[in-house]
Amino acid sequence: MSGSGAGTSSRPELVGAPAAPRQFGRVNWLGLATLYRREVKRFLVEWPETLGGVAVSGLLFLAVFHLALEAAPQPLPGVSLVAFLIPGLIAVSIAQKSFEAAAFSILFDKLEGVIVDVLTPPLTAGERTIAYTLAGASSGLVSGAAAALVLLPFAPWPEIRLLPLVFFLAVVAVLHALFGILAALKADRWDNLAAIQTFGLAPLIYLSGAFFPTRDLPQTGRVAVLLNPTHYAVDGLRLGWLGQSELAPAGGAILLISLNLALFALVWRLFAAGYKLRA
Amino acid sequence: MAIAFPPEPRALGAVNWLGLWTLYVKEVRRFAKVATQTVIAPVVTTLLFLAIFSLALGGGSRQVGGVPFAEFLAPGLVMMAMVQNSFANTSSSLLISKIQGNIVDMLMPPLSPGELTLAFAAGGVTRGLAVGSAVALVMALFVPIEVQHAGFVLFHAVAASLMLSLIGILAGIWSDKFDQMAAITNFVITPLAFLSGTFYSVQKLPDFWRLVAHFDPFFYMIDGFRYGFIGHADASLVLGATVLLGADILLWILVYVWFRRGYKLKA
Repeated sequence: MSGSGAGTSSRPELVGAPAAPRQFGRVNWLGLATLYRREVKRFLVEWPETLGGVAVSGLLFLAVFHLALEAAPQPLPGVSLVAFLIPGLIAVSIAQKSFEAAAFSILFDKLEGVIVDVLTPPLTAGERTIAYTLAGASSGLVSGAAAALVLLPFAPWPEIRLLPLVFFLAVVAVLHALFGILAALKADRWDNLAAIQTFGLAPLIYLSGAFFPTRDLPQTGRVAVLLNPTHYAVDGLRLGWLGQSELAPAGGAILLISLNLALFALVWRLFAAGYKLRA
Repeated sequence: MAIAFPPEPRALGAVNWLGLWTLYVKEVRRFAKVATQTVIAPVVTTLLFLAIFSLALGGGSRQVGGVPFAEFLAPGLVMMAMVQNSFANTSSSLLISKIQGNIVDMLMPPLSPGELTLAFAAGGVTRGLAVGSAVALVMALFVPIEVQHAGFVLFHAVAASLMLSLIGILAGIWSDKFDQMAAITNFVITPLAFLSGTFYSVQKLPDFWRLVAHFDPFFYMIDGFRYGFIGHADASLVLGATVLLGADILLWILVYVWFRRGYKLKA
């Protein structure tokens, strides 16, 4: 294949015509998978720091709650505070990291001007939405696994219910990845994203009932919790982990599926319109 | 208009007061300009902590250190917000200047290492005190906060903010990347702040961990600061004040030496 026999020049010669465009069907699976892989790798490039940070913060929360609130009443019948907290902390890790993974990379690319690398290839808005959402969700789930691993030894072996566990794990990760994409599309500067995290995401997560039972809240608090989508995700995950939850899971599941679909459609539309991405 | 001759160099005494003041003002404006992120955000975060701990307690009337739990918790949360923000102020200022290359703007002017140390540290202390006051004011709406010993409150607020400002300077000089800074925050500062008796009385810890707590300067900050509010301390106040002063002096010297050598700042 060298084709160097003809000339004295050592410069390699072009051989053949430029490659024909790759044929693909309705979905550019290769492109979608490539974007997904890039995004997950990006999250995991500093994995000892990232996952170590998740593990340390999960342990810290568990320790201070345990030490501060030993005397607190059992949050659910027959469930100790620590056992109650573990699925909450796993859900919180997933929610935070799904959001961050999706938001940081989109906003970084936007501000550095390299988002064109995602806009110019033959990827449709739907493919971009799927790749970013799944990548954010996967990053969150890896973080959740790290949290679960270090927290497991501190409570009796959980009474896993596989179906709700898998469903709510997926739902909490996808929901917060979509939140992250929306936040990054909306933000023009890092300050904006930080503000969304502090004033929007943090209250959603901290007041979701991940750390405390919600049944004894005063009326206004109870209403606020029921308006918080993260609450249903955390509560459902607790059902999958402990076999017990505060709410019946069906209502939460329907609400979360609808919300995820609506947000997915919104992100799709925004990508299609090039909202704050194209001039 | 006549063209002026180049001005004479400004004569400096032993201390370049104008330069010192200018750098300090720059450090304060840097965070004041984005007060939503640097002052209001910690207020929100701290209130969330107060909320989740009060709610997790399930309305129980538990007493810690002779006062209701929320009143025990509040001063610790104020202190946590102060130290985290003092650290964030100096560390981010130095690291960002280093990464963006505008650190020369601080190294070229006629500022001595002592003046650099003082200006950066004072900027961090100002942020710490601003955040602490904001958090305390807002928290007072929800929890009865009453100052019993103003001297202890002030001393521990300043000593703790100063310590974390100095540690922040060291971290900012030492780090080359944001990841390293995040690692210091995640693996050193946050655990020390969390495990220092903000959320519980160290009297409850097993013997070994109580001993460990007594080697943690963060513990004395929170303990002495809380004493100023609730009149109860877990450890000796004299010992605490000595540890804090000693740590501040040692850190100050270390920062001074690093600035003088130009460690990681000058080629």
